[in-house]
Amino acid sequence: MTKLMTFLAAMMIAFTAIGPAQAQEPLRLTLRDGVIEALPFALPSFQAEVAGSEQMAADISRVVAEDLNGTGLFRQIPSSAFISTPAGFGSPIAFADWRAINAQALVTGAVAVNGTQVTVKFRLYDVFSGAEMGEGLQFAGTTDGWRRMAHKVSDAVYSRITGEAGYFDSRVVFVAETGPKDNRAKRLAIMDYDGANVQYLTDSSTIVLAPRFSPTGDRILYTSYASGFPRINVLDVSNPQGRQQLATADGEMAFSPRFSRDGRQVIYSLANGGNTDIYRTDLATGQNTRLTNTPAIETAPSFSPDGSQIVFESDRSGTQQLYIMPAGGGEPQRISFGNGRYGTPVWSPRGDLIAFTKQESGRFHIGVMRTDGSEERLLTSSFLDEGPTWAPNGRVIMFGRETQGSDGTTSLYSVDITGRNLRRVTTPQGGSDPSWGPLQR
Amino acid sequence: MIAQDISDWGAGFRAQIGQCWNLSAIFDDITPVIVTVGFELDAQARPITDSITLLGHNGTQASEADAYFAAARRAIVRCGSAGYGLPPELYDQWRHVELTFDPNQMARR
Repeated sequence: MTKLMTFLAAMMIAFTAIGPAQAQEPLRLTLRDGVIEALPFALPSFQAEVAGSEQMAADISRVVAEDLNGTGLFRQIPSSAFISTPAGFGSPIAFADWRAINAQALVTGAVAVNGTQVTVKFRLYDVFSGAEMGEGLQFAGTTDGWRRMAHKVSDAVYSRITGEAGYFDSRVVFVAETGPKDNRAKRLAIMDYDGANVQYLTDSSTIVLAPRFSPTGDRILYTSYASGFPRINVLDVSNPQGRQQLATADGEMAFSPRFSRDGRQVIYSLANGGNTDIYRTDLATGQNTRLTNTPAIETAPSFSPDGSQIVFESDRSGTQQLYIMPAGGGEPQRISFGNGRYGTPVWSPRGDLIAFTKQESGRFHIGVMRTDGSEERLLTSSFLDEGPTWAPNGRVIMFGRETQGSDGTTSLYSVDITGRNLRRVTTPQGGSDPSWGPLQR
Repeated sequence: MIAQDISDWGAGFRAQIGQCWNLSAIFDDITPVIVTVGFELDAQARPITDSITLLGHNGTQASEADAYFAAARRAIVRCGSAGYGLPPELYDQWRHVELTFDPNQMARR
């Protein structure tokens, strides 16, 4: 009987899956199995449209390819496999030649340098459909901004293929570290997302921690120990000497700041008399609002993208866990219940996930969970991983990693939210505590 | 009996497309998007590229659905360039296809 039921069920599934066998009716099927492989793309070196543009064309082509390869989602087909290359930008594409080498996307481009001005244009093709994906685009700028133009091309290609915004034309502020572990010099630095163009925003005379970009990327919050106590500063990226300090009373310690999504308010931790709670300050008026009031240590607050809620860490339950409360304060809901300790929560730009640091059994992890605490997933594991920050599209997370021992070093790493594609971000010195800024305009 | 026949070649047809359904560039196993795609096959069981259309999706953003549709379209075209080897005597049964691409099972792996 059981076998008969199974057979009948199987037949019903077959009929459901295949659909009616009548003429004119479409054949209806459901496909549930596919493959997950890096998508092969071809990127012939961009053409130099003007004499003297050859090096720039080669450099831009290289950066675009590095951007796409670096995602782990795409795989560049080596030029040695090419059967043909386009005769010129906009020339007809011999799709059969690209299909033959299994290129699924084709990027063509051209570069023209005139004095200090450079123009980059590109087209993207879906090889197997034999059609262009979107229209050709052109970017113009100065030659010293060529990397940004390459990143903009990458963002456009990424966006057209994935349906999501890119993250290549963005910057990261972090703490650059040099020297031995017990006497480490720390200063604020800013770089392109890929580690290029590092610039230092502070000197190493004062310990600095926890830099955080404003939503528009023009200001940076950070914690400074210049006075001997932690204080929160606001720095203007275009004028790093122009700094504003949040008012803090003598004896108080202010740290772990983060901007609200409109950039007008700052949430942070304030320690006074051995008690640490979360506060909010309006930058224009200086008005402070206390958001938590318990004997516990409450810190690392982060707004939800819509600004209505705050996620933070607290040891009010006896161990360090994650909580969510209304942005104006109020009764928090605990969302982390796994073994170990949870900290440094950061709400994703999409609003669907919270990234965190987890310490368990002597190991540190970067992980993500849904905002109700479900579907916790640990993405990394090492001696010390901490301080996640989201790429502007919510697809990739950057964090700091420190190696064990007295000669241990700090580095920046990135990983995507599925746990794939763990990569070290190359910086001139050590790095920690990254904060990923928005896409540049 | 006819149903069994259809399930044989239908399963083979589906498996062929699955080999080319590559979700790497878009696969976000937090929020996978189901798309239903309609298309026509010629008498040699090759997809008619211009006929491939997005019939429906459960995505929250059009750009997400477009990306999942593009992956589905690539799969249909790429694996069908030599024909899907379907029984020619049953052309009326597979001439018009509505194929739902559901990545949820892959997301749970």
